[in-house]
Amino acid sequence: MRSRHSSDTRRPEDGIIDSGHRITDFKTNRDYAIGVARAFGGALLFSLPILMTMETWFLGFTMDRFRLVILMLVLLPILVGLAYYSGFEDSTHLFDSILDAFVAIAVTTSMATIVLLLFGVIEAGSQANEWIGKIALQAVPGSIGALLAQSQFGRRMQDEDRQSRESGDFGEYFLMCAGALFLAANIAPTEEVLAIAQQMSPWQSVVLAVLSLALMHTFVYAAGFRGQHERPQDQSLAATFVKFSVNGYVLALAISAFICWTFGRFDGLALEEAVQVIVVLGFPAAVGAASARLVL
Amino acid sequence: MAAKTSRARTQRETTPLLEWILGGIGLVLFVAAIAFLVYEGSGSEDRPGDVEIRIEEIIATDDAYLVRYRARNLGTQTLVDLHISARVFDGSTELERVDAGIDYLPGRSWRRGGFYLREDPRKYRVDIRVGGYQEP
Repeated sequence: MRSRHSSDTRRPEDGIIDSGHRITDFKTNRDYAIGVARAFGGALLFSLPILMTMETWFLGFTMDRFRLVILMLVLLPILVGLAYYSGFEDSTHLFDSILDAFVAIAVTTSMATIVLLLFGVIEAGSQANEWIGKIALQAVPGSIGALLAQSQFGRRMQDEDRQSRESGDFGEYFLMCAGALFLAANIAPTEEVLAIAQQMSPWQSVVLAVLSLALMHTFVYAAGFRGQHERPQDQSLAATFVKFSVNGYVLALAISAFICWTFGRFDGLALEEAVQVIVVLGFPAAVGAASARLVL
Repeated sequence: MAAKTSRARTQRETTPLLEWILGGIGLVLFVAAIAFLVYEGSGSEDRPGDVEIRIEEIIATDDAYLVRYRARNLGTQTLVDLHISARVFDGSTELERVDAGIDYLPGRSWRRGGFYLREDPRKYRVDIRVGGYQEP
């Protein structure tokens, strides 16, 4: 996953990468294998919470098959986008990003299979419908983690002086969706989301929504995290707040609703309760959305 | 533009073989999983849970007889919190009853469990049957 860039040499006069390396070149492949190991670690790090959550194993075979397919189909462009935006503006092409996305899926699938076999969650004698569902569900946070590991651990080590791609407004919204999807998919399988929603009063839900919104803004513009954004000089605080934080929160709520629907969390719920579940899951989704803007 | 296209082509030519292999594996896994899930969701018939219980072995322990069973769900629907009971009869007289449960029994899958009985099940008639369940 992009390790090849460290060994590529550029000729500034024509902007063309010197193709001194063939695809079978040992060093290039060895460097790439190191990148894959990093991705494996990232996938493990980001999917450990749901690898060790019982509800996730059960969801793998109880959730509606078509909803799982839709979740996987939504995941693919998100992975491609993550690979694209975490790449280098002058060297990453859409084709590379698509390839990176499938590599992330391969890495995550192998990681999840090994870990779930070790845990005894899937057994050699289990039916295919059981283990395919269980492993497919791990692909959501795991493959996002595999790509994040590349951008976070890899880029700085390899290429200090090169700039990552400028994301623009669309990219910012896209990254927020990816971050929200990652954290929401991690937490939505647990029973606690429903339990919290049921024990909260409507007023507590309103306060939680306001808190989520405030946190989103604080995370990105005020808390001083690495990657903090500067408010554009030509935009007022209110305009920035609406443009990114309010819109971002709306996206986080939409992602929460989508994840709840795919996991069947709305089944049998009244509308008011469903809204409360969305707000509860919207809390981690908002934090995920804000964090994604910082880390990528 | 020409330089950009050329750069893309050059870069593709230098993409490590390992990346091509892993990307290909990822693509195959992704497409296969989608195809399987679509087939599962549409092609196969939707049958309610139908549990078949088979006694695998009986082991005498210090103070009980362990009856190990295997419960297989012949249907396609997942059964949650499935109740199973073992009753020991001497003729028509029920000597004892032991209850057990299975948290999740997916469609076309099986789970193992056991009952600890005071009476020797090899001397009497043992009736193992499933009770109620929940939908997931």
